[in-house]
Amino acid sequence: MNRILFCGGLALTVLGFSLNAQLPPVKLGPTPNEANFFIATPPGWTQPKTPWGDPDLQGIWPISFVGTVSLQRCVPAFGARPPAGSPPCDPHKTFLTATEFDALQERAAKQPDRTKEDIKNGEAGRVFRDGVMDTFTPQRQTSLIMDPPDGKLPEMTPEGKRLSGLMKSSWALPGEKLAFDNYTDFDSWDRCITRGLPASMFPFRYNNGLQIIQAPGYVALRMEMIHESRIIPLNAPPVSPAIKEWLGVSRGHWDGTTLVVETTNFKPGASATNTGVGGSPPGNRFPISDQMKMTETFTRLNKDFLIYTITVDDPVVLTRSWTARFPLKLDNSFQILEYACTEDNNMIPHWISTSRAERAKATAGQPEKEQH
Amino acid sequence: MQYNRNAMKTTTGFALAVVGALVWALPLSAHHAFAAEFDVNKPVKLQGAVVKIEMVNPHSWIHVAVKNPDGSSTEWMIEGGSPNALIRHGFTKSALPVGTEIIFEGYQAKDGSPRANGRDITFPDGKKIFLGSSGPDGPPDGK
Repeated sequence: MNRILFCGGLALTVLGFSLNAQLPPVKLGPTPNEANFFIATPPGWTQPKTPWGDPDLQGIWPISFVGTVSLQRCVPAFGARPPAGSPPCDPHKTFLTATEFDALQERAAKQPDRTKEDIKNGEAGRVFRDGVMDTFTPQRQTSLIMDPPDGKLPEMTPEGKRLSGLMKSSWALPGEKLAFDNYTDFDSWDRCITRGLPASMFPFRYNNGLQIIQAPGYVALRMEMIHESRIIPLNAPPVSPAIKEWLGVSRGHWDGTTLVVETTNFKPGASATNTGVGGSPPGNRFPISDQMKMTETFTRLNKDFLIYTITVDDPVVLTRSWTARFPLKLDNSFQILEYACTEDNNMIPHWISTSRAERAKATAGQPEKEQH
Repeated sequence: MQYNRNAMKTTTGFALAVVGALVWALPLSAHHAFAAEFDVNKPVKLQGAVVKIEMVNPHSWIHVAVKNPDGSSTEWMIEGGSPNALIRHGFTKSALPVGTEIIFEGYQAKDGSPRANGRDITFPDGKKIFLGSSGPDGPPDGK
């Protein structure tokens, strides 16, 4: 009996280990390949250094560079369908072939520039209504999540599902009819408090500014959306578990020229995923617990590119960890603008007023017509 | 604040291109759900003078004074996109100066208040001039 238990435990341990397998470290090389996301490091190139001797990652690295890539593989963003005639999505195909990528770039180049045409034609109203998006670039990777190997978010634990069921958001689940009466009926992003983590590190349709700023002993990540900054002390001791923050408490160190950031001490409440990130679960109700640990690496490949890796482990919510990895391109011409939000957020009162009016109309025997 | 003209060279259409070609197909409204606030069964077409533009997050708003038949005036709010994204493409407050007479079409809010999702904005003479395309530090455009 003991032997059976031992063997079973060993098997589970091995299984558990394999289920949480980490991606191999980013490998720099002069030849473009999958290991370096087809971004070569020129022979002899050396990492620039700050005046105080740290590897220099400073600059603006807009996350929109990977804005076309779905978070999860084979989960089309916003109900989009692939071009007619496309083969079925292969859940284990992590990169497009060179031929497929060439075709993608060709198709992209032929598309009309809708906003530019609207501006040229004086369609101020259309531009104002639609908003405009940051510039995106075709990518070869087929999902931002690279582990699990199928590029999908792992299953939630039963506790994770329970916590998810308690979350509120203005973003409805399929078929869900929401009612709003209080600010607590909205999520932290609706309320302009935070996009939360890890969601803040993924591309949105706009406001994708991400700036890395360094000082002796510190790295700061300035995020345009919701105007948040993550201050990361280097080689600093951990803080008390009693301290809980929306964006957690980060500690950084250098592993060679790679910046490693470990973040713990999360205050639960924000969703780990954001429905505005293509290929994410609907509803902004992917919970985090105060046990979540996030490990990120920033590895510069050459003067223009770095590869960002983020691993999320939450034993309360997730049945295993997940890791996303993607390149970012330096673009210091991208101007990060202020994103003041909370004080002028009209959305919350408007939506509560609308929701109450709809329900009052229904009570009065005038059911709301179906919206399409 | 200096407007970065290089940023203006970026092409949103290119984003749409990739969208169409790869996996993204973005809805026309680039923010929260239209149906949660506005009523597709309540189209409005009104004319009035711009009172102010709120370049606020998460959604911008143009306020327009619309004259009623009895001579009074009602201030309507027209919803737009996120300010930063609009500004990057040249849509600043100077695109529609206060006092500019505009005709706007859209859909009214479900609670019946004078609020609308802007579908189209034109000038009474039929002209469509995008005044802000050069940004605040650039020469006036659209001449």
